[in-house]
This record gives sequence, structure tokens and C-alpha cells, in this order.
Amino acid sequence: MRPARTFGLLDVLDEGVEAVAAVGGPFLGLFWLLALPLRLAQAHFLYEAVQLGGEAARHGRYLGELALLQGVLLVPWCWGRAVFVRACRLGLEGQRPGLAALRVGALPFAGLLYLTVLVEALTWATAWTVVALPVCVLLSALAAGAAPFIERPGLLDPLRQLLRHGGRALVLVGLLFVMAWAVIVALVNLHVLFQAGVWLAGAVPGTDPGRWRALLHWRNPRYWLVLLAGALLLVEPYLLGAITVFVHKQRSRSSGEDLRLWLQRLRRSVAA
Amino acid sequence: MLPRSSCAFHPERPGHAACVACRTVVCQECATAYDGIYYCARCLAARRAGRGRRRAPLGWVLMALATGALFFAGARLAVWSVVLLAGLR
Repeated sequence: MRPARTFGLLDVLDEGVEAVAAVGGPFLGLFWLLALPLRLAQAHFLYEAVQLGGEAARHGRYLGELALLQGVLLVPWCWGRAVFVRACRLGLEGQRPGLAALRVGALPFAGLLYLTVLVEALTWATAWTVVALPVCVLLSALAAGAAPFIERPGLLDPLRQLLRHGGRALVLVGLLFVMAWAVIVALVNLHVLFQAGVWLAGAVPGTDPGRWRALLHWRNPRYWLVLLAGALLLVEPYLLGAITVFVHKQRSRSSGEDLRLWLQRLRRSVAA
Repeated sequence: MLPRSSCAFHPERPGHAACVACRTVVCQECATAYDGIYYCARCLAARRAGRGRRRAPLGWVLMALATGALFFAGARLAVWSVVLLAGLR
């Protein structure tokens, strides 16, 4: 790892991808398994709202129940993120992320849950502005990266840790930009994959691809909402890996690397 | 060992490490490696005290109440947002 003071966006991306590769399939699978219900619930919630249109106000109770379901599904998603970030951190420290990665402490998990529902509320409160959405996505990922360092339960320490690790805004903005592109690329690839599947199904005798073609058409809002959910699922582990590396590098300014450089300078000045 | 730098608490002893929290140079006896990082006795005690405060029940209660309140507030806000956005269509 390069000295902490010199890291940039490319270092974070490179090492983030390495961290995700080191974590391996089982943790990636576990994360996807825990995140999938939330993403599908979000897609369904938005689909219902789109379908209701101007009538949505009359179905507040139904939409409220769907929103509460999303809130409940945040809990397994948070645990999945906490485990994934812990596995990435163990990998960065040169350890094999085995069962130890599953032992997420009660305080980091509770802190992450608190920060997640806070950011979620902020996301919905500012959803109409659209521009605030990427900031909320970034805050949510940063919360997962900073949660292991929460030292005491309460309302302020989780927020303090989140803000403490939020430095180097340019790197974070760059990271967000790259991830937004990654979501678009993943979306297009998934769409092409589904269309290729429908095309191949047409070659199988006895199958009627016409119905599937209508369902998997981009004009079907449910289809593209599910596609978006899939694209987010594919990209999210890489965002978490990159954020873990980012937090690790931020913290190394007050631990290993930075201290080693400082000791070197001290030795040189004493010798001179 | 740090050449020609002495321990802040034992000036007669050579410096062995620097505390990561307060950056004081300390001797081998005063330095304690925790999580692979050296701390002086004072900072290590402060860190342990901080760990003790983790059990603070008031903090847990506050965090649980805030999480619950934000959970319901988030659901309400989600409904209001989608009703607003769906109405704009």
C-alpha cells in the first residue's frame, strides 16, 4: 500500500477491486443474498407508485406498508454490508477473511443501522431534488466503512466517525462518478443479457418468446426497475470495497504508514 | 530503537517507540503494542476507559430510540416523496 498522504482515486479503485477479489465468492454471495430482498422491495415500491400515478395519495396506507417492509429489509442488508466491509478490512490487513468476518460487533452493527436509517430518511426527504441522491448514496457507503470505528453508543459518536472519515471530497466525488458509470454499464449489460436470453429461447422448439419479449421490454417499468436493482447489486460490493480502502488509507495517516514516515524523519533529524 | 531519543517518562532509557495517539517517544517498558500499534500507558488507559463507556446504557437507549424514530420517519418520508413524484407525472 502506498503512503497514505499520496493516495488518489485510482489507488482507491485499484485496491478496492483487489479487496473485493480477495474477499472471494462466499462473502459476495452472502452480501447479494441479503441485499436482493431490499432491492426487489424498492423496485416494487417504486413500480407501485409509478402505476398509481396521481392516485398514489389515496393509497398512502398501502404505500406506507411497502415502505415499512423496505425498512425491515434494511436490517439484513446492513448486516450483509457490515460483514462484507469486515471481510475486506481483514483482507487489507493481510488476513484471510474466514468465519472471523461474520463476527460483527454489536456496537458497529447498531451504529451502522442508526446511520443507515438516518441516511435513508435523508434520501427520501431530498429525493425530489434528485441531485441530493448521489450524496446520500455516498454517505450510506461511507457509513458502512466508518461503522467499525464507532467507539461508544449514542447519537453523536456514529455521526462523528462518519464525518471524520469524510475528508478528501475530490476522491469521494470521483468515486461516485465512476460508480455511477459502472451502474449504467451494468444496466446496459444486463439488458443485453436478457435480450440475448429471449433471442436464444426463440430457437428452442415449443417455447413462446413473445410473452417474454413483452415482459422484458424497456417500456415495461417493472422490468427496468428490476434491471436497475440488479445493476446496483452488481456495483455495490465494489463501492463498499473502494470505501473500505478509502477509510483504511485515511486512518493509516494516524497509524502505520504515517508513523513510519514520521519516525524516519525523526531519525534523520537526530542523525544530522 | 530510536537513536539518541529518550523515553518521556524515563529520560535515562533510550526511546523504543512513539505512541500513535500522543506521539510521545517511550521506552520498551512504557510502550504497549495494541492491534499492532504502539501506545503509551496513559493513552492505552484512556482507550480502555473509552471501551468501558461502550456499555453506557443511556447511549444504547438513545441510539435505539433514534433508530426506531428514524425508521418510521423514513417510511413516512418515502410515501410522501413517491406521492409527490408520482403526482408530478
